[in-house]
Amino acid sequence: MAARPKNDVAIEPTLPITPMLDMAFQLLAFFIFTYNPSDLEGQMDLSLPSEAVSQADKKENVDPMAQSNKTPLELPADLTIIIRTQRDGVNDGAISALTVEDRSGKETIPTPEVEEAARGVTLLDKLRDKLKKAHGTVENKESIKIQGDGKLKWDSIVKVMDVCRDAGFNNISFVPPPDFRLSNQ
Amino acid sequence: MSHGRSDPGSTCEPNLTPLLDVVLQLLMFFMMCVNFVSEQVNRDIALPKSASVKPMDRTDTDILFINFKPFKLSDFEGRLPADALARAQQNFREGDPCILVLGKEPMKLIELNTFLKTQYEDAEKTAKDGKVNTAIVIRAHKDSDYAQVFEVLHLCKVRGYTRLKLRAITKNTPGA
Repeated sequence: MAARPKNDVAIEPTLPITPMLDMAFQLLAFFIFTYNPSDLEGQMDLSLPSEAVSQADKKENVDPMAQSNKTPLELPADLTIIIRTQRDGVNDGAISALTVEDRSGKETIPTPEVEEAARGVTLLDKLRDKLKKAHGTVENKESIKIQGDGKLKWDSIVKVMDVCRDAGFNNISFVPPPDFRLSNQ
Repeated sequence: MSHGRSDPGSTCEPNLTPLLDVVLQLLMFFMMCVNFVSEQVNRDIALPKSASVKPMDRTDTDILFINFKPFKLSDFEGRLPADALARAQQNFREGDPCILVLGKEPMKLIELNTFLKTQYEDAEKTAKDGKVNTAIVIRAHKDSDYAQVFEVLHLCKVRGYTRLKLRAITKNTPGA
């Protein structure tokens, strides 16, 4: 800037802060009112075996010169959880019975007794105990299968998946429901 | 305030600068917290809660979102063009399984089958080594039937997709 003459009265520059503050408050109010922290979404990975695993489904298709599969062989799951539901208006799509099937047979998880239910013990807690016990004895400590009734709510399946992970089974796969058929067939 | 006076010695202005600083800080905070709704994610879907979900993997770029919920006409009113809304109303009854994919009208399970097929073939053509690396994120409403969710999973698998992810809401305390 050019030098001012000495006798000129110094003009103090004033920044109009008030309108700026007004607007900042407006914006602030807007963002506060629209502040809506959504629940944090997370995800569960499902890794399906690729199609290459089942290349030779027939005897004549087997290629003796083919290289063996690089991926380690996955053991089949020892345990299957079967979840039943009833559409009776009372437990609409919620879990009505849980059965754990292993190599030796099926075992239905007993519904909690009255005094247990009073303590807040649920069917899922009993399943958790059972799976934790079973986790020590089964050969395949990673995999487990879940089979639900077709009318079972997805929410209930996720709850059972939680219990499975809690008990140490991280590789969860799904078995088609008993009455399953594709809707385009 | 003393603007009316002509005496320069007695002006008494509140110091607005620190106030403005704080306000701008707060403003910045709330602006950062605004979650810009991603178009692919449907807000109407109430996801199930789960204690064992992992945080989302942000590194994936090739993602196909499949939103899945029982059909409810009120979800679409005002969001779909009139002709698409009429078609949806004709094709779906309340509670029918309904699949929502970005840029598509509500789909039925059968339509998903053909959609996934064309998607996979397109991806195969554009992939560098012919390998499709698309991750499918399934956002299923908690009230969906297991059979229908299973069918979606089944279709994805049959069409060749191997990377599937299920979305759920993070729940911190087990049993809560």
